[in-house]
Amino acid sequence: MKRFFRTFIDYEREERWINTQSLNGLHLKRALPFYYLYDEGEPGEFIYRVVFLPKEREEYLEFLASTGVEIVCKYYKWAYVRKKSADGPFELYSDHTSKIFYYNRIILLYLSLFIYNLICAISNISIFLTSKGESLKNLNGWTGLLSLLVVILLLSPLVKTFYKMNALQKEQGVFYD
Amino acid sequence: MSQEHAPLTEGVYYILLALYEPRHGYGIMQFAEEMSNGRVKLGAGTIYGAIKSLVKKKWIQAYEEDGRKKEYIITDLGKEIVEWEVARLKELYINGQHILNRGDL
Repeated sequence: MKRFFRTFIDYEREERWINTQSLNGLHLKRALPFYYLYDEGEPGEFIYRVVFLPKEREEYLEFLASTGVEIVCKYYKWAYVRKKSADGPFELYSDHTSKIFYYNRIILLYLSLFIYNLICAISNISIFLTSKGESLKNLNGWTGLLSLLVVILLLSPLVKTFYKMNALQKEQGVFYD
Repeated sequence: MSQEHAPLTEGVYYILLALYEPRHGYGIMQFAEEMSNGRVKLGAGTIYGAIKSLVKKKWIQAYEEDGRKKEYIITDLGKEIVEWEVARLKELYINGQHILNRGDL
């Protein structure tokens, strides 16, 4: 068993990292924000997917399980699932329509986090700049900076997902699937 | 034939065909792959979403629950849609063949 302490804002980067670990013979067992636990095993035995779950989380996961997808672990609205690579490529969304719908939900998630953190950053930093000599002033300052960091980090996955969705939508004008 | 419905996506088309017999998710996936000689590989998430919206449209319905595997079957309305779609595809096919054959002569 091997532990890693790290975190991701971009779920696709997280998924790539988990799959690289799999190629190196480390298979994900448990994932929490800042914490990942891996089991040692056959290199490349599994393909992993990190999924943002729809409203009916349990029903969705049961459905995935009934099609032979293994649910490794879940956290809040996210699940980590895998399939043996011997079974061939593993994608949860196979056509434009469902991919666009999925990206749309991801964009809404990123966007709401982006706006929430932006408001936190602006309000905390302005409190820090305007208040004089109060004891909590520094706390506001640091919270504001942290939110600002999250805002900056969210920008890239937000824009990336948006472009991906846009490209799919454009293609859909020619190929209907 | 008037344009009553938008053309079905490949996935929805195969899901409806699969459900002329009661099937669960995995059964649908296998059916589509076998019928298309491995070309159409439907993702589990795609099938899940399609089933939800097809149930809402009443083109398919839940058949019975055996344990955790829920089966679905096509409704009469669903069959009507498939018949309409097959007629549409036939028109596309015949017109395509017609143009191609003319080129050969």
